[in-house]
Formats: sequence, structure tokens, C-alpha cells
Amino acid sequence: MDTAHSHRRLTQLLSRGSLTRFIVVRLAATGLLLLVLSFVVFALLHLTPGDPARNLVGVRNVTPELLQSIRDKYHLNDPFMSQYLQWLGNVLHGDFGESIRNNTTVTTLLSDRVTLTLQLAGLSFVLTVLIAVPLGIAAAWRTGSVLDRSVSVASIVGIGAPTYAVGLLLLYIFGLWLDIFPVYGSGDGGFDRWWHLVLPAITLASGLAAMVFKLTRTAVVAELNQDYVAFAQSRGLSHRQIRSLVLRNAMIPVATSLGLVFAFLFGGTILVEVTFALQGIGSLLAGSVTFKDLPVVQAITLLTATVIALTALAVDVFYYAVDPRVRKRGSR
Amino acid sequence: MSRRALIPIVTGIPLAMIAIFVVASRWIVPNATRQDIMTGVTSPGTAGHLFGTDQLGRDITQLAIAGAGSAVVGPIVIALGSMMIGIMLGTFAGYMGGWLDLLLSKYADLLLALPTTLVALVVTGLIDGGYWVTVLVLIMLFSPTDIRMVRGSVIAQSGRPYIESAKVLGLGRLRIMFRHILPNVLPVAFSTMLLNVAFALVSMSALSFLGLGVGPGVPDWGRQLSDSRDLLDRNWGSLVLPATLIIITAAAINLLGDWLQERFEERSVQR
Amino acid sequence: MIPSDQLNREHFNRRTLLAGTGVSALALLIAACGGDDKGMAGNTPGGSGSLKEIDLLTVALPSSLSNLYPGQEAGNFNYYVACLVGEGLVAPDGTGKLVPALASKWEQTSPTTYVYTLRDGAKFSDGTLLTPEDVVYSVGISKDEEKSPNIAYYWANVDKAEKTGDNEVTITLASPDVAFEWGPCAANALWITSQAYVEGNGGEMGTPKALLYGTGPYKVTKFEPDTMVELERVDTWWGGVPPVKTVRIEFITEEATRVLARKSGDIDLAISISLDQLSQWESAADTSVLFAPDRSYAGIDFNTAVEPFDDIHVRRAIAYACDRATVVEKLLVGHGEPATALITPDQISSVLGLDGARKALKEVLDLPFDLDKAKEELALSKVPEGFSTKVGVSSSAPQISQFFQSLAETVKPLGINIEVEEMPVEQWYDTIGSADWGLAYMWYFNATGDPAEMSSWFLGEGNPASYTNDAVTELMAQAKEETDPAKRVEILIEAQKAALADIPYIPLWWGEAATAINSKYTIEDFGSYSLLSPWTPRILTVD
Repeated sequence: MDTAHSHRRLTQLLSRGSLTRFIVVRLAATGLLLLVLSFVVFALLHLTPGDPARNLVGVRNVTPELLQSIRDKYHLNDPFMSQYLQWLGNVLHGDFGESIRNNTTVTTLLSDRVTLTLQLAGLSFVLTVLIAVPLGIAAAWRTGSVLDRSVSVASIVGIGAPTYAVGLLLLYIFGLWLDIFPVYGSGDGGFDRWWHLVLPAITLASGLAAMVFKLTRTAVVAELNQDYVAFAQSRGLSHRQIRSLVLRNAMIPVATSLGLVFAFLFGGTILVEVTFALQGIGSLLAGSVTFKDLPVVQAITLLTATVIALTALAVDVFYYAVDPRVRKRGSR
Repeated sequence: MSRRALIPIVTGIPLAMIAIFVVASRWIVPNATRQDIMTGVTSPGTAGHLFGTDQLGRDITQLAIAGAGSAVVGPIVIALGSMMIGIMLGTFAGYMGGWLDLLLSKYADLLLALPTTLVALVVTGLIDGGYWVTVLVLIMLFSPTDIRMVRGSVIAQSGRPYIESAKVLGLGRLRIMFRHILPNVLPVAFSTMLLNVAFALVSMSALSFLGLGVGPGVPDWGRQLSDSRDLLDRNWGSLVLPATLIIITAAAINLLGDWLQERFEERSVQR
Repeated sequence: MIPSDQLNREHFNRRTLLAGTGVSALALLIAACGGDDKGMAGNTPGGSGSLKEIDLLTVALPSSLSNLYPGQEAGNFNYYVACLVGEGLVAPDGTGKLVPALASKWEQTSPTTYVYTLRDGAKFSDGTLLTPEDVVYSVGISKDEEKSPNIAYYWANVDKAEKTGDNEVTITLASPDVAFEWGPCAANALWITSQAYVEGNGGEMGTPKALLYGTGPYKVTKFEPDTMVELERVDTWWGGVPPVKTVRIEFITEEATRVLARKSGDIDLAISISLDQLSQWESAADTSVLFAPDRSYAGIDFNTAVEPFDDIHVRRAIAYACDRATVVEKLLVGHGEPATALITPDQISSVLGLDGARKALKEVLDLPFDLDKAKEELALSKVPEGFSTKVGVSSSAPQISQFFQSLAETVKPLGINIEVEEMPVEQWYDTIGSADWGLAYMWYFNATGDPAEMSSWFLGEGNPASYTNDAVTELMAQAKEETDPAKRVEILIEAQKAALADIPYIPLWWGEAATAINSKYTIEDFGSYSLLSPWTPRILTVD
């Protein structure tokens, strides 16, 4: 019922043009954000000590001329602004450049890793939502019940548990003792890939599910305490009607947090990638930053930023569509 | 009721102990970092070493006690700092709307869009690292979530009838924002903040894990956790003790936060 | 797929080859391993077993490879993979002596001229015949600073490479340098590939699009950068068909995960396992651990141009405070040996034998651990009350970090305060020879068996210690031209003695690499050079 309702409302909004304008403005702002971000990252990386040419040759007794010729190849000696503008120009033409470390195009380098990270983040997200949101609602509905108390305790442990320790524990139990899941690698594609990602996704989801559970529970409890609930009850609205009312209002902060959860997941897979030796963008970024492999760092940063910005936009559109109070304000 | 009354005691005991460690570790374990390389790694239960020793013969338990300060103080500062930013900017953005909202939201988006590792690596590289630099970086990185959270709650609140009536009464914006809306946002903010302490604790240990935390030999749970990777094999205590301490501390802070939040809610209902 | 009877025949052929001409590198290797009378089955320190067909061998490396061409990315592990696919003109045998690979023989006709005769009928993995033009072209790639930033420096002194006969390539140096012999070797700086292949791939090499292509016993069938590489044997290698059909190499960068992978039986061979987790590996079911010196050197370098390390008494005080024996015993769990020189014993063992090498190197610098002497030296220095300094340690070198922490504790009572700063390995590169870091360290893995590899850097111009000594410079120049290996080693040792008397460096330890293997298999005569030439033919199945 809710979906159909909000869908109708969205259609109405679109017909009035305000949502379209809203989205266009936001997209333009996102473009600007990406531009600023790319400059900040470029500048920061430029300021950090270290020389990619030196990093490429490692511990070797090389001549200054050799280092010079590597720097020339990657235009590392050009003035800062000219380097940035050249990079920007190439990006606008769809060319993200070549990785200094891997000597291959950034696009090639990223494609597999982005898929892996997206799959990992996606699976964790689904797990998080499927576990945490229903549990949060159920716990809020019956505060103090056995379910509420036990899940609350579990979530409290989950929030604090260090990723590395959780990952290792899961590996020992499910990988080694029970021998259900593989202990390393990312599988050969298809189902095998997902099978390999189960333990990492659980590890990643454990802390987040705890957080989402708490937020959901808090939001629903807060909504249940609102005056209108008592009012509605006194007016004799059915339990079912009240529930849908409460849930719809409570889902606003939850939706915000879910949007942020996905954004966090996409940029926060690094520890899990390291623990499970998965090659996603997180581990690539960490290595590329210390290496000062600028084209790769830029590409990942912008990619992450785009995902996050679009998620935020989706959350706001959701706000707009679902909450009549916001809608009113927005059209004012 | 009686069960809930227990919470301050249940959480209070570990938190008080940790507080004592933070304040008094220099007297409790004055020689926490003393090495004894000839002893080397020992496993838990070795005479005089409840949780064993590390490669340089340092006692894991003493290191953990001495490490409470750096493990807890930073996260508290991070959570406080980030929530202060969150409340200031989030309230303005949420209530005022318009270009200010757009600007502040974009600022939050920008920070949120920065990959944690990148910022931490770059900034620590620039300012020569250090614990407090990491704390500052994490405040910056934690604040966008807080800004967005507060903003979301403020937007939700500002559509409520009592705000409309306040406006009708002609109350000033600042007054409405900080006297009327904020108190209703605070419970969520407070619980988020306590969650943030726990998260900051884990984040700092994660940065240590990636080689960005305190220097070698400095007592710190995150550092111990990261060092345990090479020790686990010969001394499981090196992982179990700091991990347990992190979990217990985070859990106690969370429980206490929940309990306080419920108290707030009761009070607001009574009012 | 090669039928097993054909495989056996190939092996038989190799055996006859071995008994006959003795020119094959592999033959020499096997001869060195087991002795002629033992033939294929050896009873060696690595364990006993016999060559049997192995369908799949899964190998796990502790770091990930993003490019398979070592000219572009030259970690130790890149070499282990590359030498299965590509070959140089020469290759090291089990003792580190160079033996023929794609060149069936070579000779030095003048101090700057090397003439290589190519092996008859050598083929690339797709059956194409190797030509001298390919060799010349490959040298060109190695020499190219952009295509091969990691090895070009090795060819800087090479004037030209040219085809001088139907089966002959001549390489001319700009100035004499005996160390060049190690240049055209797949363990160091040459992987012969084909011009047509490289140009067909737009000049790319070692990437998933342009897989490494050579004359070795394997071809790359699949490469996912930073994830895995899969090799499939070919029947075109001059040395025969190797017993392992498929080699699957996974990159597992987290050691705890790698141990689990072995415990669950997912991997057969783990190269360079962490000494810190040795007992995990040793206690894993069906797993044996093999040890071999890895020609690595760890030691302190002082920047002698930076105060207070410009004072020899300060340097000597620190040298007396280094308890190398304890460090090796405790931090390296006994796997390694206290170092007394810049050269590692395995780099001169082909001349002096291992025991002779150790004895000779012990005379270079062997200061005992003696805190009283350290105090005396400090008292003589210009900072008798002590001083504060810092040292930058790569976060990927935990044992070095522990060593410096231990040293810091040892010298604290003397008034010397050492702060250990951990940093990413890339930032550590910047500390080498830097004026900001008077106290630094080097952890160097010698790629070759050439005894001058590291010492020509450390005792040459532009060395990280800013150390100058005319006598040493003179000796190093002599070593460059001395063609008699024994005399050359003698000169190099003399040069080190002269230099290290001034303590610009304090050798700490020579490392040992541990390799874990499914106890179903063993590696025949596992040693320092085992993984630097095609090594799968040395994987034996335990009977």
C-alpha cells in the first residue's frame, strides 16, 4: 500500500516539475562536488612526501637519470596546475589515465575490483537490512521482551567487535572447523563468487547490522511515543492502521541511515578485503595512496564520491516522496 | 524495572575500572613497556604473565592497562567533537534550508565522500603523523554522518505542529532551533554519540591495523590488536585481551547510552 | 594434455641428456641436487620422493603481483613466477653458479665483449622458433627505462647487443664490469620474448591483456592482477615437459588467512611464510616446512654526514649495543644468522663453499655485544651524555621494528634516545641516504648470486652512508674488472673489511626464507637459488 501511495505522490510531484528541478539542481551540485574533490585529492597527494618514480623502482641503486625519465613519462615534473588540468581534460574525454604502479589503464585495473567491492557491499547491505530492520521493528514493538533484550545485547557486542577479530573467528568456525565456506579468494565467478563472499559480507555486516538495528529500534520507539499514536488509538484506529502510520514515519531516519550504510559499505570494505585477502577497491586504494599512484587514487576517490553522492540524492528523493511535511516545505 | 536499574551498575563497574586505568595507569603499571627480550613470547598463564608476553617480552596485561588511556580518550574526543560539529551545522542546515542547507549538505557530502584511508594517510603523512592528528582526522570524518543525522531529525521535527505554533507565536529562529527543536533531537544525538565512541574505538584500532595509529611500543589496544597478527600463533592472549577490552568498553558505553536515552524519553513523556 | 607415457619419455630423455652432454641447465641442477648415480629421485635435505605427474599445484604468495613482467614490477615473487615462463641466456644453478639457459654456451672475448651461442631449436610456448633478433629485441626492452624501469639500470653499462651469427648474439659493454654476467638471466634482468608478440600487443607486457610470453616450461593461461595467475605447461621447452601440469598461484596477503588456506588443504605450497607464525605452519596437518637462506641482508646504515653519526665513536657505541645473536634467536626464531658483512654467504659459496664463505665473512666486522664497551665509546664521542634520534621503519618489516625497539631499550641507560617511527614502505625508501635520517636501516634481498650486487651500491659512489674512502673505491674498481671469481671475492672481502672498519654500516642478520609445502610433496634440494630457475621439475611426490 505504501509503495503505491508514494509512487503516486512522486508522479504528482514530477508533473509539477519540482522534483525534476530538485534532481537537476542536485546533480549539478554533485558535479561541482566531484570537481572540488578531485582538486582537493590532487592537491593533497601532491603535497605528501614521496616520489612515485622512486616507489616504482623500490630498493635499488638507480641513477638520477632513470628516475628522471620515469617522472617524464608520467609528467610528474610538470607544474601542479598543468598536471591537474591535463588530468581533468583527459577525464572529461573518458580517459582516466594509466596506473604508475601497474602500467595498465586505470579503467582495466578498476573494472574487476569495482565489481568485487560492489558485490561485497551489496551482499552486506542486503544482509544488514534483512536482519537489522525487521529485528529493530520487532524489538521496538515489544520493548523489554526476550527478543528485544537478546538482540540488543548481541548488537552491543557487534558494534564493538573489531573487524579483524570477527573475520578471523568466522574463518576459524565456518572455514576451518565446519568447512562450509572457503577461507580465501574471490571465487571463479557466478555462484562461486557469492559463496566466497558470504563470510566477508557477514563480517562487514556484523557491526553495521548492530548499528542499523539500534537506529531502527530507536526510531520506531520514538515514533510510538508520539502523541498521535495515543490519539489514533483513542480514536479507535485499527492496530494495523497505526502500525503502518508509525512505520512510515519511523522509516525516514532509518532510510537516511540505510543510505549512509551503503555509502559507508562501498568505501569501507578495506579491512575486510585485507582480512580475507580480497582484491577490491579498498585494498587497491590503500596501496595506491602510499605509492602515490595518482590516477588510481583519483579514479577510486571520484568513483566512491559519485556512489555516495548519488546515494545521498536517492535518500533525499525518498524523503521528498515519503514525508508530507518535507514535501510541503520543499514546495514552499 | 529492577533489571533496568541494574544497568548503571553493570556498565558502571567496567567503565569505572577503565577510567581508573586511564587516570592511574602510570602508578598501577609503571613499567608496562619494559622489555625482556630473553623471555620473548610466552603464552597466557605463564608465571607472572596472565595474558603472556610479546616478542620483546613485554607483558600483554600491563600493556593493555597502560593502553586504556590512548584507546578511550581519543574516541571520546572524536565523538564529542564530531557531534558538536554535527549539532551546529546539522541544526542550521535542517532548519534554515535553502542555500545554507545546500552548502552545509555539500560540505558533509564532500567529507563523507573522502575515503577514510586516503585522508588519514595523507594528513598523517603531511603533519608527521601522531595520535592527535588521527583524532582530528576522525572528527572530520565522523562529523558528516552526525551532520546528516541531526539535519534529518531537525527536518522531521520542523514539520511538527509544536514548531508551527512556535513560529505563529513569533519566536526567533535561533530560539526555536536550539530551545525547541534541539532538545528533541538530543536523545538521538546522544545515543549516536555513544555509538560513535564505540565506532571511533574500532576505527582507531582499524587505522592501527593499517599502520596509521600510534607508534610501535606505545601502549594502545588498537596497536596491540594489530601486533597480535604476528603473535597470535604463539600467544592467543595478545588478541583476546585487547579485543575483549574493546568489546566490553564499547558494549558498556552503548548500554549506558541506551539507558540514559530511555531516561530522557521517560522524562520527556512525563513532561 | 600430454599423455603420461609421453611425459615419462621426456623425463627419460632428460636423464640421458644429463648422463651425456651435461650442458643443460636443468641437467646440471639435477646433477647438483642428487648426484649422477641417483638420477631423478633424490634423497636430500628437502625430503625424498620421486618425480610424478602432478595435475595441479596451488601456490600461495604472501604479496600480490599486479604485473608479471619483472622489469615493470620487480618484487622477489615476480621473479619466482616469471622464471617459469620466460628465460634468459643464462640461469643460476643450485649453488648460484651461472649455467646455460637459452644460450648453450657463452664466452667473454674481451673485458667488454660477451658472445652468446643460442641453443639449437629453442622455441616459444606456441612453437615459434627463437631467433637472435628476438634476443636483441628483448635486451632492448630490458634496457628501455620506460618499459623496464626496474631493471634498466642493470643494462645502463651495456653499449649494444647485436646479432653476430645465425645463432649468435654479442653484447658489448661500455666499460668492463664482471657483474654483467648476471644481467642476461631470468633471475635478474632478462626475459627473452618475441618482437612480433610484444608489438602485436602494442608494447604492453605482463598484463592480463598481454600475458607474459617466453620460452620457458609454462605459459600463462590466466592472470588476474593482485588475485591469481595460472600457468599451464607446454611441450616446447628445451628442458623437457615438467611434471606439474597446472600451477595455480594465488596471492594471499594476510598470513593468518594463508595458514587457514593451507590447513583447509586449499593450497599446496606457501612461499616465504612468516616466521612469526611458524608454529602454526608447522602444526598444520600434512605440512612440512623447508628453510633456505634467501640472500637477504638486514643492517643499520648511518648517514655519516649527519650529526652525531659523523662521529665514529657514536657509530661504534651503537654497534657494540647490537645483540645480533639474541635478535636472530628471538625475533627471527632462530631462522637466519647474525651477519658479519654486506655480502651474504650464499653469494660466494660457489667459490669458497658455505663454511669457507662464513669463515671469510666473519673477519669483516664481528663486534661482540658489549654494553660496557658501548659506554666507553660514547664517552669518547662528542656527545658523551647521549643524544636523541629517530629511525623510520617500514610497517612491512616487523622484525626490524622490534629490533630497533629493543635497541632503543638497550641504549636508553646510556642516554641515547631512539624513537622508532613506522611508515609505509614507500616512505621508508625516502629515508635511505637521506640527510633527515642519520640512523636508518637496509633490508635488501639480493636478486642475484653476484657478491658485488649490494656492496657495489653500498661501497660505491652515491652510497646511502655518504661514505668515502679512496682505498675502498680503488678496490671496488678492481673488483669490477677481475674475471677470476676467486680473486674477485678476495678483493670484495678486502674492500668490505676496509670500509666496515669505519662502521658506516652495521650488518645485523642474513635472512632465511621458510616455505611450507603439502607433505605429499617436497622440493628437491631446496636452497637459496631453488626458485630462481624453472622450479616445478624439482617438486617431488613423496613415496
